[in-house]
Amino acid sequence: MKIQHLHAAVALVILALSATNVSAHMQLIKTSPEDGVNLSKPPQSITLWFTQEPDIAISKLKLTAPSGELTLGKLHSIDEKSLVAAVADKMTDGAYTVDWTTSGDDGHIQKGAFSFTLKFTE
Amino acid sequence: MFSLVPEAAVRTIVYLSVMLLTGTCTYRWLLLEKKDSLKRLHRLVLSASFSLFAAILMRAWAHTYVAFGTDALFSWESIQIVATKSRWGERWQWQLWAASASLIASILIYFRPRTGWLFLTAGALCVCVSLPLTGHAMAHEGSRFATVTLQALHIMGASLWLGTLAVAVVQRRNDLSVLERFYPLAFTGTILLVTSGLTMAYLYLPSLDTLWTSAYGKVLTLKLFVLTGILTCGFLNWRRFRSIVKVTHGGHWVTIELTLATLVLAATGLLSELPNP
Repeated sequence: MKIQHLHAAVALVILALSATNVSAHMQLIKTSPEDGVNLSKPPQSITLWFTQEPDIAISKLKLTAPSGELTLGKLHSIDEKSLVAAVADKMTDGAYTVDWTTSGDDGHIQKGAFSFTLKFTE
Repeated sequence: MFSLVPEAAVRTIVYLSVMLLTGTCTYRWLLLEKKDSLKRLHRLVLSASFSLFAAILMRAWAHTYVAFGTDALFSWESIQIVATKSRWGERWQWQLWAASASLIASILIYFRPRTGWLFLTAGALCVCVSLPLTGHAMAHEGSRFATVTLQALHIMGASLWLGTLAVAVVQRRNDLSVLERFYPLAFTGTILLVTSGLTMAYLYLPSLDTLWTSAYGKVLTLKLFVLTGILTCGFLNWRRFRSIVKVTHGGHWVTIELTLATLVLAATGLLSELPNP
């Protein structure tokens, strides 16, 4: 191996050591309401927290009730790594599903869903 | 997985074009001789820069499809959101600028050859550096400089070795005078490609078993297998070159090497679109 190649290899190793080995793909940490929860009063908003800052421009939240899709407010963040949308429509008893689409720092589009149930107490 | 196919296919064309573009620039500055066909070299570089420009444009379309589905395919508003308002779009624009500059420079070669080649080389380097901005390298917060540099070196290494080899084949040059200067370049490119690739694999894979348990790991394993085939072909070519005084024809190994390289590019295109484990 020539000395120049050795230098290049050493430089690459230094470069590698300066980087950290962590899972780099964005992941969903938690949601509000939580997945599978039974609620007695309707949520004011839907919130999702991720391990990275979601790209709001291409993010989407869809709330579906047994009667069909409900209207959500404009998507925004309450902190750097969250996605929030206010629930604009009136909610009734039933099972709800939230479908989400977003992307993280690597630009990969990620999609997922979670659900919760609403049952008003007398 | 199926939804990844359009983006992966376009990414493969981007890699193929950038390898040819960078390979042509390397050939022009380091291997060109009087008996070379300049016309053929110009045609090749123009085709490579045009296909790169078209593929970079197509990336915005393919990304819009993955984000918003088939309904958005013909929606100018959706394409505009992805290309100009998203974080991905901001970084993609750097690639578009670099590809546009390369296309303009490749046209300039017809009128002012030396200036055109200089600008084209700078443009090709900018493309190599801008490509990692919309991929896995950007997800390593805190060490982005290292991961972006590693991926750029990976692309440059591949271009130096396989891109230049493809250009030599198109130029129909397999005589000793070219091969003598090609092999040191190929060796440098191989070292860059393999070292940066293994380092990225170490950074992106959380554990060794993800090589066969995750989709990303499986495609990476496939890529490593095919790359081993390319390295074997390269080694056999090099041995042939060293053992005989006059090379009469390129041999089957060069064809196999370049065919396998195309397969590796397809695997790399898919790998770029798969999430890290």
